[in-house]
Amino acid sequence: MLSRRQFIQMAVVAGAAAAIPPVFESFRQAAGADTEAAFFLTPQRWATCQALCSRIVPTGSDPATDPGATEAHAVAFIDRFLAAFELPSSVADNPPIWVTGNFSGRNPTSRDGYATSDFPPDAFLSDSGTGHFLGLTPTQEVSWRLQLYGPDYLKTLPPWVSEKWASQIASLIPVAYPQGLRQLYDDGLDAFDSWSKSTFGTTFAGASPEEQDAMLAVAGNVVLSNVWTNVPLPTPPAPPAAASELVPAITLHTFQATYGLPEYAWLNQVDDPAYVERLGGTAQWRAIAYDGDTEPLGNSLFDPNMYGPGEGPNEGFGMEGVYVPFGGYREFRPVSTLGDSGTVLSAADAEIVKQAIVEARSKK
Amino acid sequence: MTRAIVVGSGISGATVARVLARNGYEVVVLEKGRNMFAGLGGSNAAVTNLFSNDEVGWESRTAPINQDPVTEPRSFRSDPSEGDRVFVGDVNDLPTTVGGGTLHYDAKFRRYREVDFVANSLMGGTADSPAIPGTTYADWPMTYQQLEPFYAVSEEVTGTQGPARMRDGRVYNPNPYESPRSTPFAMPPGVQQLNSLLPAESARRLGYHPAPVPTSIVSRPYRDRPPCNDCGFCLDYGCTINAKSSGVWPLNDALRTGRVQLLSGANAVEILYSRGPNGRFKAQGVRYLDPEGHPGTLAGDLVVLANTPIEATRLSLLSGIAPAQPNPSATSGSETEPSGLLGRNLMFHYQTATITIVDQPIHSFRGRTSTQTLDAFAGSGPGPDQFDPTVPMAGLLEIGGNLNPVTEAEYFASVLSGEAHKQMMALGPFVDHLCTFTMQGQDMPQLTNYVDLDPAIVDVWGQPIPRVTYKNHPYELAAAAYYAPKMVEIMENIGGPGSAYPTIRPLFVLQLGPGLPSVLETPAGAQVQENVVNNFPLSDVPASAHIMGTHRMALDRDHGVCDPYGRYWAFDNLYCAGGALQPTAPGYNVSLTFQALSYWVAAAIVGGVGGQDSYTPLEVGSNMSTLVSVLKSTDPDTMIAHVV
Repeated sequence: MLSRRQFIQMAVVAGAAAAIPPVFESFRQAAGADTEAAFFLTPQRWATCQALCSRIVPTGSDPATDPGATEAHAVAFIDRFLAAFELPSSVADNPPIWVTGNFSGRNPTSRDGYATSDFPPDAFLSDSGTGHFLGLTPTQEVSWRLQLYGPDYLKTLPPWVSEKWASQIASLIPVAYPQGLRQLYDDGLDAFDSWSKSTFGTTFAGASPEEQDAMLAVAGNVVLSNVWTNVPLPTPPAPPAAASELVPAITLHTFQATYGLPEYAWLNQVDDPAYVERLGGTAQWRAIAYDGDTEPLGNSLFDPNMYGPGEGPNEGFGMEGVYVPFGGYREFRPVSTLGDSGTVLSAADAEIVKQAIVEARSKK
Repeated sequence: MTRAIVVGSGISGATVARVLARNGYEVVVLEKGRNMFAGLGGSNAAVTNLFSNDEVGWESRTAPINQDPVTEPRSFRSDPSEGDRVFVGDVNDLPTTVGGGTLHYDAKFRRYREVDFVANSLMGGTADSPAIPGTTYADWPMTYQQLEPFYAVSEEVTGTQGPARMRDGRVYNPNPYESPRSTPFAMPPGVQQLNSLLPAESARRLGYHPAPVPTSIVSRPYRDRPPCNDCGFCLDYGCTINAKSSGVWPLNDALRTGRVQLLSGANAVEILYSRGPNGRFKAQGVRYLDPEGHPGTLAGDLVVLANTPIEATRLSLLSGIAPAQPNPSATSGSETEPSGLLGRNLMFHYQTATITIVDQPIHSFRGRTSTQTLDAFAGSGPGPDQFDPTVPMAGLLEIGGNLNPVTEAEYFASVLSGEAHKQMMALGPFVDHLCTFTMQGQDMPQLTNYVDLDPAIVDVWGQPIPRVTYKNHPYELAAAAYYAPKMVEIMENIGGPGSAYPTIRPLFVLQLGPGLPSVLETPAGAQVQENVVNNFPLSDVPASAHIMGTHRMALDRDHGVCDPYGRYWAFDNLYCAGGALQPTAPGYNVSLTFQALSYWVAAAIVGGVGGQDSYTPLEVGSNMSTLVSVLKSTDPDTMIAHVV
């Protein structure tokens, strides 16, 4: 038997679906969202980078339902991040470190317990393809320029920066990427290419997926890559240091591009309907049963006419003579109950998950 | 008009500014960081922010509101025998921004218990002979009952949901581990998330009494702010819809008086003071730097340090109030700081975590991070008559936990790649199947845990950085070891006989720690974090956001840096407010107590209470009527004002 609350939840799901307008009314290619335009990487390095990203998160047999880093435009994400301080204002109003604005426009507003048909505009990326990012404070700019340009930047520090601080950077204050991310990418991408040529006789981009996977696993010291398939990978010789050094960074950036807000790769709902849709988030998020950004709708909807279990009309909360807010919640997407999305883990899956977690912890 | 300078705009500084301004003071609030809000000074409904549901910017990268660990690093060592430092970078970094650390917390808003204020004497200790060897364990100069109205008003002013409600004309609290309340919460708990309900339900079958956690997030429309809609981006994120009750809301109350000036990007680097005719010192103002290092000076009639315990210590040391590096053999302090304790007794919480992966997809990524609490492991109590000194005191269990997919991807990248990694992401063990306990264990105060100035390293403006010297005491390690198996037992009982969730089974339970000093091992630590200096070794560098002590308050100048009302003993008008004052670190989330103590300090300033060279408990008690009358006149529209 359904409780009143469960019944209401079921009713809400139906009601909310009806209240949401048809999606994909109009799609336009945003002018500035030409994600093939390179701002930092040379064509050769772009190709190598693209090939690496596509093996870090590979595309499945159906790119629409099982996309990878390619569909997420990871290489554009990386290129523009590396050129953060050199992008034209038509592409980004500030360095693409932190998007700014509240909402992506993938979720509507709500009112009185129901989703409305009012989808706010994408605050992070305009229709013309300009990304909206937070302006950096002077210290944030120093920090991110140092991260991107490395020691070269120390020669062009603003006059207000302490010389003593600058002199301590190299020896006492370690930064995450000592040579700077731009140099790290240039050297690392070149190293993957030369390693591939000497090992497999072709550029990294020209190597087979199995050869690429093998190089990535060896360079990244990844130990369980064939854990599900048990298919042995080729065994390339020891990688150049620059290739190994690039792996943590390019892996992180590929994940950020693939599993983070698509606007960091200049994608939103108006320029790739196969990848991004309203309320459904990105295809990448759907593939892992994740919502992505949910505001302003959120997952629960406040309804002034409804009360939670055991609450009554807010009976007992607050004291006499004092303003008592009242109302209750509908769960638009299940929060307190099981839903129908996601994957049930089998015992075999659980063993692999456990093995991976234990292995990852032991590598620290 | 009296002009107060308040350093720090977090929940402590905002509360001090609010109380002072509502009582006619002119206030300048200095905030080192940036302002992410527009419309402050108007109605709450008109306040907008620059926050978003953004995993990349707020978790994968150092968040835009956080202290930058490269330009503003801190240094760390566990013991002077290790040399000047073993690590430079992110040491206990908190947001440095208008509204402070409460912008990105997940807002568990907890009171300490009655026993926590007097545990030292309940265990047979005295001020000069602490009950726990090797510590400076101490009673607080006030009791729970005395601080209770300030807890209540803080909950109400900020906007707090919780389960204690009115029933038959009395306050009924379903959490039996909490001390008596004189008022209910202003609003009921919001939606409970499944990964909090599962372990809580399991604990209940084992005879424990979990309860919805008091949370400073509004569950109903409240003071012109909308209710939480459980977006899933809570811990580590600014709230896009302004439902989270951070320090910015008391700050906005303060700004609305028209008597408060907020200076963001103002980095206080020196307290200006001189000796007055009565022999005490008198703070005259503050020198500060703007973001590009241009100096400025502000004159004031009183100065309140409401920045973090670490930064308040640094500012005092930069001002010459105590030696930049303490003399280990000194038995007393200086003219300006007679206790010799400034910076000492630095405390965190000792975190012990248990993670469980369940078979069903329980969408752990939705909700407010943690919606249930179990307080059984904080130690016996809550009243003195229930206290048993043989039961270890650790802390509450935060029940829930969530993780975003970028972090999950990073975690598994160290062992999986390509198709195998992608298959793991589709399973989503952390994102979609995770339940966690995090126990915030009580951390013992020790003279050898302290903040001073690093002797060599400076920040980007050339100012010496703070150095943390810290290691754990055997007490908290033993308490964690005592409770860790019980945490595992509860997790393994999920879905067991009689469960309300018979279809959900735990697949495996992992104990993280104990053994790490106040560091929760995070999957993010497995890989490079952008713009965060590589932590080496991660597990030794304190990362707790719960930072207490350094300015212990006490009844006399031999036992604490500040008097029971936050005043530096040698000064007429220099105060510390917030968590720096805490004598001990009870195992509960800290922000509510920081706020209550700040309200207490500000009420004492307004009421003219304090200024003595020492106090007896009786004198603290007799000052209560003045403090409470300030509360009533400052917040006449609250429930607590009707009760006290």
